[in-house]
Amino acid sequence: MNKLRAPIVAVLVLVALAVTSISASAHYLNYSTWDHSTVIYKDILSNYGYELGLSAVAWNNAVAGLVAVAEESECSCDWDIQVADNDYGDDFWGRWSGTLWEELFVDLNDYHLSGAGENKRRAVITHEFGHAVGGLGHHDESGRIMQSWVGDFYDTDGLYTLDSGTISEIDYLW
Amino acid sequence: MRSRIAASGSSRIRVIAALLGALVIASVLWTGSSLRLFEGNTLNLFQSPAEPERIVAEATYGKRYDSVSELLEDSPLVVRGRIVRISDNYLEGDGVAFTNAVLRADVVLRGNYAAEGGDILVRQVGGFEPRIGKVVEMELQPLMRVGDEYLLFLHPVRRNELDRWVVTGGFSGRFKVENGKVYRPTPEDPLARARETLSRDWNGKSVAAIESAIRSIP
Repeated sequence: MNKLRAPIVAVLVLVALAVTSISASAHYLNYSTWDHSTVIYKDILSNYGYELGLSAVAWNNAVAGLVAVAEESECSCDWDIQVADNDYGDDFWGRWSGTLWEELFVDLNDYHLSGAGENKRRAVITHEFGHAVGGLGHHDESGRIMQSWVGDFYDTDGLYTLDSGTISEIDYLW
Repeated sequence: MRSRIAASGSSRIRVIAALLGALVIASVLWTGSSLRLFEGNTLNLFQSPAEPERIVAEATYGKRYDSVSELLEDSPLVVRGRIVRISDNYLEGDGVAFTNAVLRADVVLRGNYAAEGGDILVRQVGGFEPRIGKVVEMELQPLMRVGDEYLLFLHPVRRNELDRWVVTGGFSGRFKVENGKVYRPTPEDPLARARETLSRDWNGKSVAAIESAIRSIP
């Protein structure tokens, strides 16, 4: 039995490491922060440039040392987040895909957003930037901008910028 | 004394060998898998090099659905059937992947929009995205596969276009059927799980029960 103890302990340590790594806080999508302080987003069609700018400012104010800026048209610099808006039909309002340190994509659905008011557009964009800029996952507590449904965080809670709970979470993560 | 020293040395060698072995196994797992400790949205622990990496994307939907009656309000078509074909994986806009699945309806519980033969085109967000070089699947909505049986609450992709349908509320209107029972994905977030009343009410219940509930709602 003594002969088996060392290998068993080693395997158990490995399993424990793997499990704790995978199940770390569910609210943090990427478990990491940007490795550079200026995050550049590229707005492909500019239909929502104004609201994107306001949402970027909200995140810049919340995340110490991070500045999300729009790519200047004459800038040939690399972008971190690409924002596109298209008519995707009666489906998602906004969506992001990708991983931090690689290119991230935010897709905004004109089908819904073109008929929405300015604050509701800001709400959706601020939420998606929460994924893309802030590295946050969904957080389904009432009064959080990172709730899964725009019907909850905007229609019910009236949120179109960062709430105090999300700011606290950002302070902890960053 | 000499034999004790020899035994102790042998035991130490075994421990070192075991730890080295564990390190080798860990290295193989680390490099041969897509498990990334710092990226929580990676799907697969293991995958063959030939398959593109799969990642989970998050979407924001308009409305939360807490009950079958709420789903019915926004779902002109409710059907049960099997996926018989994946018709295509295509890109829209600036590279968002969509995958069309063809469902052959065995039971139409609401609506009469099914095409001749009972086949219904269900558009899913997700699929291979060249801009990322990965297969993207939406959170709690793995891409449907041929042979899967589903009970789906559907609405048209665009108003008055009844040739393509999407599941109502992302994963909300999607019930997988296995051995006569319905199953729903469970959110990882405990708060989301607690608020997911559709899963609490229906997970593991019989298809007959949920179909009876649907039929009873005018």
